[in-house]
Amino acid sequence: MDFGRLARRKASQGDGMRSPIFVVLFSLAASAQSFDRAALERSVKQARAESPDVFSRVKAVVTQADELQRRARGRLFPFPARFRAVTRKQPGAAFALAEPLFAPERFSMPVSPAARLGLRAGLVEAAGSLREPSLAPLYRSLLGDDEPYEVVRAAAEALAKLGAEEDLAMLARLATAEGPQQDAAISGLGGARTGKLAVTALAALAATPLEAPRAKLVAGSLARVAPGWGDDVPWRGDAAQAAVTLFVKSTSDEARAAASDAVMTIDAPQTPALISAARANATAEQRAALEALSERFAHNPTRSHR
Amino acid sequence: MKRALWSVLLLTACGPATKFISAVLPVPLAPDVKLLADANRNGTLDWDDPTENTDKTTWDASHGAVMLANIDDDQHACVATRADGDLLPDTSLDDCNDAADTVINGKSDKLDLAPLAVHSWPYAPDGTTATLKVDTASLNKVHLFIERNGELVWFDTANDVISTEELRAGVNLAIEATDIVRDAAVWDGFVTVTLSAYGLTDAVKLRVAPVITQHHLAHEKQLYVTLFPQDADSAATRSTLTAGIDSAWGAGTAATLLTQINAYEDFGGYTYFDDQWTQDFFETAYMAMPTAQGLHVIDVFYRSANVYYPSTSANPLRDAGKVVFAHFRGPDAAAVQAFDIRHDQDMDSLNSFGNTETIPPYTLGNDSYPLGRVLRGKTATFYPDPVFTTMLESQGLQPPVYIDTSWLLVGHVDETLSFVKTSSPRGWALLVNDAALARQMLMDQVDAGHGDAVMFADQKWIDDNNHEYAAGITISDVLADTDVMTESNLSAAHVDSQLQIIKAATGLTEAEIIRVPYLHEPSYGYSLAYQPGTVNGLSLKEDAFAPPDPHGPLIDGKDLFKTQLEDALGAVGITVVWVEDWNLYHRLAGEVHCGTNSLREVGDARWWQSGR
Repeated sequence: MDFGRLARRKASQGDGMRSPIFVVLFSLAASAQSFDRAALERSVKQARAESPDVFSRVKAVVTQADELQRRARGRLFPFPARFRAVTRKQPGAAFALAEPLFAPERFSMPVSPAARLGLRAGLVEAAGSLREPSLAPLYRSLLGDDEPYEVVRAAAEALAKLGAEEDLAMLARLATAEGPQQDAAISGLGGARTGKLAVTALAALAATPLEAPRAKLVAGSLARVAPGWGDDVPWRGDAAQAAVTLFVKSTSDEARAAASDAVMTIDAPQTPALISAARANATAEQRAALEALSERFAHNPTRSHR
Repeated sequence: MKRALWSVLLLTACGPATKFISAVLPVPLAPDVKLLADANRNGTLDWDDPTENTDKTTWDASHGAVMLANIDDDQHACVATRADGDLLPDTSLDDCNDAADTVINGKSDKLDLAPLAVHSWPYAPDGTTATLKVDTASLNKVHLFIERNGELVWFDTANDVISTEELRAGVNLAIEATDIVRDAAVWDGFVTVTLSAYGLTDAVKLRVAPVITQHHLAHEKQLYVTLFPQDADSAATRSTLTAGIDSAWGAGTAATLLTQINAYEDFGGYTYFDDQWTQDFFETAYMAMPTAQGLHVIDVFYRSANVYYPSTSANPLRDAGKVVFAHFRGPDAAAVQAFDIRHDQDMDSLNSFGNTETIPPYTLGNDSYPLGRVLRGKTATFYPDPVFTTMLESQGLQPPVYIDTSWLLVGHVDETLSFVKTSSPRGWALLVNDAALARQMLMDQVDAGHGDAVMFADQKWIDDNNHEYAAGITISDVLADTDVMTESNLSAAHVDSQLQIIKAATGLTEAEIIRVPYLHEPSYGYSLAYQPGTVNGLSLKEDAFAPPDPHGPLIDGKDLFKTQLEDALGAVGITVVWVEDWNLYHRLAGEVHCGTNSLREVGDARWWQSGR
């Protein structure tokens, strides 16, 4: 599997209908039918009545999506960031963000494949940040095989942020089994704020031989699930242990660097002991690398330099 | 003397026995088969100078002739447009340049050629002719010219000969390369030219000038920004940029120093330059050759290898890159493109030139990099176009340093790093993004009772269709945003990993690093600057830096982030000139550096002395 291809799909900016992405982008209506649309419609209607402004904000971004994508620098216009910004502290924002996902016919949807991809993933990712439990069925419906990586990843992350045990268990299964959603699930698990299950799954992956792109996804999710700048979560030590394991197991420079970055980000107090323990069964090369990791941790760059 | 000459002619009639002849005849009558190039690099051919006429087939830091790839367009003869006004397709745009034909395209073109000469052999026997050959690898890479009747005309190495009369009089020659080195494994740019006559041979070795990218410390010759007529956001950026240039260089300077590329220039109904990422679609560089009048430079404009239309073989590349052929190619200005249409689209952003910068010159131990080193985002699994990469690496002068930018949404080195001139022994400092510092600065303000101070005050998120929403957010709310904080946390580690690679490559010390605080936010599992990325600025003159206005929180009437950067750069003698870029650039995932470009002066370092 070409993880990089999945993780960084960037539709060409002007290739229009020629891109294969175009085909999967029309799949939403079908996949969205698997949840209770009527219930969601009621929630949207109520939210719109209480807070119409946020709906017009979302609609404005949707309307401009083609132009935003056309003028954006790089792979995709940062729709997730933009949606988060315009819906911040707005009541009913989650439903405003959900509406274009299940009722695209009400919007002037973008034409370009890249804009459609970014828009949908952005709506899901931004809605996910709002942790609205009633949207969980919608997110689950977006985990299908026919969804592009970015959308599945955003849906997985949204579910991880909600933190229902059964969803985390499902994501853990997806993350640890070979399959089309595996990488999206790995990345999505990084959103888990009740992270024990997520860390367990990520730790299992970290202990196995991984190619660099997947190792980097695991490292990133370990870092996100227990960031040192966040709350003092009980699974921080486990996350650090998994990151150290990933560091030792990694054979490529980029994977090892990503694991090192995860160790720094997690910034667990147990880290020196974990590194020390890892030395016991390490090869000479690994011991040297662990020494460097230990030195780096002693001057952890995620702590302020002032 | 006449008797001796007759002896030579008699011997010649019996066929050459050159070794015997040269051994027994007085020097003036010995066969004189000598070819000379400017091996001592002073711009002239010095027959009697041992630094010129010995070791002619060695090429090293102190010795060896140089030639240029004569791929500019001295007479503006290259037409980039078709009859209907549209620009030529990508596949044809680079067909034309001065080396595409075998004629000298005017006096200026002659200056792009390197001199060679065949020494006069006054007593060359009747009927003696000479040939000139180039080594097999270089056969289609150079053109030789011979001076006949006062004009340089093409010398066809396959068929032409130097006549007896020409040999007797001596011959002026010139040489041009028809291309830059594209792949050193195929052609390394070294050319051996061999003169053969009378059973004797003589040879010289030349090297085509590599293309050298420019670093931030050199004075700018020309700056570039895309102009969107009647666009208020474009006007805001350009007016503040213009003010910054005038501030650095003197009032009115921007009028000539800043080239504004019209986004809406019409080419038969097409507006190819509608692209504000002026940094990304071309890269400036140069080739240089010593001449008697000094350094002769051809500016080189690389077109980015961004493949936007992979299924369109005639026009696959990013449209705006056509500007290098349509506008920049000209006298002493070349345009170059190289790409692989099959390169993974997912990695295409890495081909934008915000991801190709140049570490300024330095020495580390025994390794000297007088022309700096190319800096790019590239890993084993996430990399820019290999064809273009091979071309860059094949220049051989600025060994690249590669860092991991795969965690960034855009993926460019200029999102987190830059360079400014300083008076330190090294002569420059590295600007590096530091999200941890940004967080600490904000937390300090909360502790000081300023948690309600608003960042991004008066800025808006949407500007079309009368939908504008305030972007303002309090310090406390930013710090409470777990998405922003988590992404910033991770980005602090990632940037440090980039920094470790650069430190190892350069020997940079902490005292030579200037921390530039701004936070990151996530999108699609990647990272991008949450605040205007103030590392992403433009170096002006030697003592000014033009970053984006950070629109930071006002504390006691002063922008917290402006104050920090002004103080940090002021400490090394750099004045900050703020450029407004929120609407047209920051909101679209880029900043000032992304939206500008610069052609810079060639410094004092001479590439041929680099030892590479």
